Amino acid sequence: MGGLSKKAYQLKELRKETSAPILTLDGGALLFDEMPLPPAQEAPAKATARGIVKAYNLMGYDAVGVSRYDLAGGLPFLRRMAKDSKFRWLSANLMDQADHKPLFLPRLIKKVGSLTVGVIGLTGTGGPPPADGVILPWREALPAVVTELEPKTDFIILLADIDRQQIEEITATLPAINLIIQTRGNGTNQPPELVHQSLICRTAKQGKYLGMLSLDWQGRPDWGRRPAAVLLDRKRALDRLNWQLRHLPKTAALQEEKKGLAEEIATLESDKDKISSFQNRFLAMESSVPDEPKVEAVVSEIRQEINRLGRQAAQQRAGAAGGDHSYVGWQACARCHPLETKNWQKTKHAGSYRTLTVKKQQFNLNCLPCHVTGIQKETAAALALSEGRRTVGCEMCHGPGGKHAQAPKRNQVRRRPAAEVCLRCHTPEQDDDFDFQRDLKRAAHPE
Amino acid sequence: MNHFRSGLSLLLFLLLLPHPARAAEGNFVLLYSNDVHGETAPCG
Repeated sequence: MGGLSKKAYQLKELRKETSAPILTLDGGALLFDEMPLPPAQEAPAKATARGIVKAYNLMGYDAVGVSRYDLAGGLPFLRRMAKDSKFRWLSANLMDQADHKPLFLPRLIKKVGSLTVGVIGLTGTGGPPPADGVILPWREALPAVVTELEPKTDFIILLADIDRQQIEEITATLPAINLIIQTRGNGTNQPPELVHQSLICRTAKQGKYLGMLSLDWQGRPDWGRRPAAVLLDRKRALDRLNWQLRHLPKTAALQEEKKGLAEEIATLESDKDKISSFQNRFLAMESSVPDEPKVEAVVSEIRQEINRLGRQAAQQRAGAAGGDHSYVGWQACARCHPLETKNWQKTKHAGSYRTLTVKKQQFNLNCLPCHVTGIQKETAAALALSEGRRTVGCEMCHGPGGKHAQAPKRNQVRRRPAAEVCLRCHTPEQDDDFDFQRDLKRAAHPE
Repeated sequence: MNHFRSGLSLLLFLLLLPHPARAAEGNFVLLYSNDVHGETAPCG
């Protein structure tokens, strides 16, 4: 949730700077990233979801698409969130199981400057169906909504939880859709790409970027680069060709090329006001971006709540041994490896748990697995670990040391971790500057 | 008075002209995001 307060700041500044009318949309998969939610994660994940809705209310979003992932907390939970939202949740194909009526608003019509814009939500069909709800395939729900919007609007945007193949099918079948914001793509930024006559775009996952698309809509989907830029490009090409014609033998091919270019330039000159164009940029939520105070307060409140829930869960687990017992903790290693231990104690790894206690996040299950030793699948076990494992200790790199501690010669541990071991935590999302070879040297110790 | 009437008639005529479907032009800025899902908290 850290990026939310930065995004709120960016949005505020952009709205101050931009003179053109603004529409603010989110494609979906806003609340959850797992489906179904693991039982231990349900309460903190729902607390996070409530915080996101509060933050989005403050950020002035117009609409959000309902992704199947937004249903991970259950349909009643999402409907409660929708009631608390100042923005609209859109889905044209998530229907009530009993009467097959839409459970959310299928589309929104909004005046944006001189244009009337229609926004439609489309929920993905993969995964288990929600209880009491049914997600219709796009072919059964989308065409009717597009047909209804077409005469009423100038521009249609689809917020869609769909894969590439469905994008191809939808853009081929429904040319009235001008733009698709795709959710659940491959997790990277996608600048607007023309598929048939529709633009497709998305931002990278986990809210690390905000997309800003300036659209100059000329009433028809003849998308191009800024016409002036295209013209300049073609005129330069003609200049080069004229030089060749002056200095090289005047071949028929060159003459023909010149004729073609001149015709192209003439067409561009006469059509330059008819080409719809766009400019896109992605704004990164870097640490240097200031935090918007109101959203920062919401984020801080939710973090405290998540930690409180984790503390409660930890108290319930008190007495239960935590996690995989083949791990013994750093003190057991220190008995035979004092020099290596001394060296490790100087690394950031040794203070990994302390950073959580300082931030009062030591019970946050989203954070804990990467700040303690030997927790992979059963994350809730991280709440009940011995003191020796509440750090990124020796066994995080060298593997569990239980058997090695009993019979060191017979049970060797790995000397050097494979890159995959580090990449479990140093993912691009969590550490975009990670370099295995370089950082291994920083974390290493003399043997 | 006559000018006023003809002006009013022209205004009414323009207002009653059918709206040309999907031919409007204009510009706007779309601010967009997706897949926010809980945004990784800066844990430490």
